[in-house]
Amino acid sequence: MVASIVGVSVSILFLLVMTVVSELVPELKVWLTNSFSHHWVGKGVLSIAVFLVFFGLDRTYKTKITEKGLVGAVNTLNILVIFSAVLILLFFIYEGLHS
Amino acid sequence: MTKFLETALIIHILLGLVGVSSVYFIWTGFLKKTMKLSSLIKSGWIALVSFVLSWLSGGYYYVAYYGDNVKPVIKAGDYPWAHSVFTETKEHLFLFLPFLTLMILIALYFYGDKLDKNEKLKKSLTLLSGITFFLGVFITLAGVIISGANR
Amino acid sequence: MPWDIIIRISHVIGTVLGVGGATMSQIFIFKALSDGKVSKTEDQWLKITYTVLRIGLVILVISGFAFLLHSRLEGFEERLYSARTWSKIIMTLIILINAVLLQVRRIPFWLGSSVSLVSWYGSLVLGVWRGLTAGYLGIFSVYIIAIFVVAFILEKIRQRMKISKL
Repeated sequence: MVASIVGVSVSILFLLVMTVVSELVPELKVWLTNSFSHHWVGKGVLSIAVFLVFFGLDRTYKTKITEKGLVGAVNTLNILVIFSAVLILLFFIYEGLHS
Repeated sequence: MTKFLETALIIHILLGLVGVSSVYFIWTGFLKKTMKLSSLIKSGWIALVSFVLSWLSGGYYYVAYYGDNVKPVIKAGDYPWAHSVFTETKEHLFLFLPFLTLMILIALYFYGDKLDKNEKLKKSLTLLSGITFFLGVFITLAGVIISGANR
Repeated sequence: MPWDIIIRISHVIGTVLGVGGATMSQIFIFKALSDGKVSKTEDQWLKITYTVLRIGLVILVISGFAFLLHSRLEGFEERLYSARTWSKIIMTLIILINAVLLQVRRIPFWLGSSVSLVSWYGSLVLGVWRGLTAGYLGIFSVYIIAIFVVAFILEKIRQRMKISKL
């Protein structure tokens, strides 16, 4: 379960960063489009890859965690999801107002 | 719009709804004093498969049709913000849903039988499923806003 | 049978089961508590009623979105922006969140029951009243007033049946 929390957390963080950076750096969006036929497909494929890599790494190194630590990890994921979702919405509201 | 694209859009919406409904069922299931673990696991699978298929069918519609046919209409119409805010946000937040649902399903498999005794972990997972539900609701309603702006 | 008729029939069935379920569950709760305790049989009846209500809600949500999808595909996109449509969506969301709040006892029973009944009947009225021209302010002003009126009525019924405060 720890591996999945790590994998999901890093993927969501990755999606947040990719979303914002690809809008601010057009070259990244172009690269995603050229490599994956569409920037959105690229973000999806790369986020799955990120999940699998970090899931695999954690499973390989067999992170030990207490039950208290597990609760903390899930709570951290909860905060990360809310933070990322709100930030993405605010970012596109800002972009929408200034485009 | 071809029949195939129409079908992709219909599948995207209906399976998205099935996914969000299943997550709601999981969320309320976690809130019960005694969880019905097998039902929650079944709902977890339904949610995950529904979101993945909704992802694929919606993604196909988005890549093959929306960009060239719907986006210009919305941007030229009375509600251009429907695309610039809601489509852009929705297309990125939707990528969260399968991961979060997978997380919930793994938790149910590995810790499901211990959750009734581990209140703190149960609370954290309840919150996670609640967040996933509200994300799903936002994404669904964003879809209504986007579709309504296509005129 | 055309798709819009199938969707409408499904939506009406969902409404019947949901509104009926919400109404009967309120009646059953009052009846069950009139002697101070909920017997095993009464508990079973309540569970069946809630199951019917949930089935109604699922049919309602899916058929409701099917109707919106049909509007989109047939070129009636303006329906997706109407105050009636969004008020029904908001009331449905309130029903879902209210159910959770009642389950975790974060809302007083008198308020939760009233919110549930007014939301169900409110959605029904909005669905039936095709020519309604009221905006959000009008709709939700009546909605909020109705919640307190229904709460008052339910409280009077509770007192009359001599049920202790829930």
